[in-house]
Amino acid sequence: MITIDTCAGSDCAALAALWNAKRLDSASCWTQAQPIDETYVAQLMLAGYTFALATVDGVPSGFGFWRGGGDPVRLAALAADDGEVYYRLMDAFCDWALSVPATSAVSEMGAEATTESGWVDALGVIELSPIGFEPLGADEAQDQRVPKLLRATCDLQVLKNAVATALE
Amino acid sequence: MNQIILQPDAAAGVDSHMLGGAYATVNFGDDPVLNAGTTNVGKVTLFSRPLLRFDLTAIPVGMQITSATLTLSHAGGTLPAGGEFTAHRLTREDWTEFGVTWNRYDGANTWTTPGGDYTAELHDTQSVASAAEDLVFESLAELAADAIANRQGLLHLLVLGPESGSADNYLSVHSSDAATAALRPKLVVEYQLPVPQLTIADHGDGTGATATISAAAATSNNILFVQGFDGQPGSGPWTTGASRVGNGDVTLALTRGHYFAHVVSELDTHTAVSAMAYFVITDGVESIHTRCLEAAQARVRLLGLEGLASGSVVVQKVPAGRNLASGVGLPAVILSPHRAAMPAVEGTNGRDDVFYDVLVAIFDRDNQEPTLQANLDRHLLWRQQIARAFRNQRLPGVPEVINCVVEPAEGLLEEAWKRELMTSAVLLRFTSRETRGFN
Repeated sequence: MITIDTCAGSDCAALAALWNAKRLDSASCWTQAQPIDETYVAQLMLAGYTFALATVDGVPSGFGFWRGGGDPVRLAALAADDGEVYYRLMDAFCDWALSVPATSAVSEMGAEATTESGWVDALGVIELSPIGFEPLGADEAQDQRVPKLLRATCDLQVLKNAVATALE
Repeated sequence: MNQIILQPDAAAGVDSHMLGGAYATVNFGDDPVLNAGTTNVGKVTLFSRPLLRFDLTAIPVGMQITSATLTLSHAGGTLPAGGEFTAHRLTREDWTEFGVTWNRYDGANTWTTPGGDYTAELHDTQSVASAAEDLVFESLAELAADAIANRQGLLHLLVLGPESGSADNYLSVHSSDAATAALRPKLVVEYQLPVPQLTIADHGDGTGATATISAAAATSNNILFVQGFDGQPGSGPWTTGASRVGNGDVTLALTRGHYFAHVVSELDTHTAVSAMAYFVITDGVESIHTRCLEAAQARVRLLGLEGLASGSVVVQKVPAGRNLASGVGLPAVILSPHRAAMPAVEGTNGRDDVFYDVLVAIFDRDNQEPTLQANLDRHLLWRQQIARAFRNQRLPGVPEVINCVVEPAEGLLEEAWKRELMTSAVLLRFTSRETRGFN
């Protein structure tokens, strides 16, 4: 059974452990993230971030965190072991964001293909635009640049509907 | 005051921002926003720094930059407790918009210090209360002036935001790639040609003076104009006394007299004019009374009395037993010291009012009664004009004189009568306020 706890104050250690495991998963969007401990998670919560920890039969399987402060709201991270957990976390984010209230969301994600980017693409409602590229040398053409970082934007209600469809 | 407004679009604008950590090799030259501060906390705590370049080559070198204001329109971000932002000059000027990253300035070569090489000098600091405010740097005049004078007209800026903690704490502003033109970075520069200053030092030996031009632009052409002063400003033609490029001294070869001068500074299509300077060329031996005589002579000449040649207005003793000076024809106006300076009659606690009397006498041939009759009106008109020119006025060129009282003088001088000359005179009593006990 999948459980989403969106106020994981007591699960900082579990969340940090999952964070550190995902940073070693080369297929995950969270690869190469900085190693953290539970103190770091607690600090971000104090700074106003909302954390969500997903467990499957009690085993941590995904996490996300985000914060408001305006519209669009910013999704800082979302990583999971499988698609259903990922979409459940995304749905929890949508519920939170719509209650802020906000109408749209923004996030940055690497341009490389990862497990999570496949799930994002499958939703088909998130607009991705490159904002970061491999730097150009002196004689290199601008139109041949390789994207490195994407900005993801979407309407929250549209996203929630797409997530619901994906979870059916 | 001249003004230039730079708000380049994506094609003309050069700006980007750098991200550290995992994105230290990523270029953001196309990003429609620039982030400053602590950001992208999702994967790793990073610092983001905008870089901007503005082309100020439209402003000629040498202009005085009176203000330079950079407005960065807010696009978003998170500043829970506000933040302080500083603008710095990038010390490396060959960074490229699509090559710059946290690690490299042109896609190939590394910064000396990752995150950009910049100086702490000449920077502006601004506080922003929230991410809903624009970031406005209002004190970039020095940096703009430095760019024009020393950086080929290119202003290279780096903006630092709050860089501490682990949570998002950054301001996002629109870049030149923003779709809305009005939101792009805007630099407003106001400038003017520096107004030159002029000081003039009399040589004191009758050879002229040294004019010193200061505060002018180093590359400006400075033309010094001089006007001989015959008793009233604007009375004579302006002539070019000297010229030079930039600041410094020029020598004015002028004879003894009273003058006005000013400097016209020219650069490109711009012009600035100094304040008017009044000065006197002396030979070191002039008494106040002598100067009263000469200034009064200049003033009478300036009147242009009808029928009176300018050269017949002379300073000499009244010809009681001697002839008029050589070459002086009649009719003539002779100015002579009538009485020695009198003892002070008024003044202040430390200064005395001293009189210097100048007799102004009209001489004409008068060997027949009809001649007198024929010239009566003309001579009376001259007296009237002379009296009006001095009555209750200061004497230009003699700053010590604070007033002039016109008094009647003897209408007939005995010696002149013997020489069959008609005379008519007025007495100009110049009052000089002099410091007691000093020469």
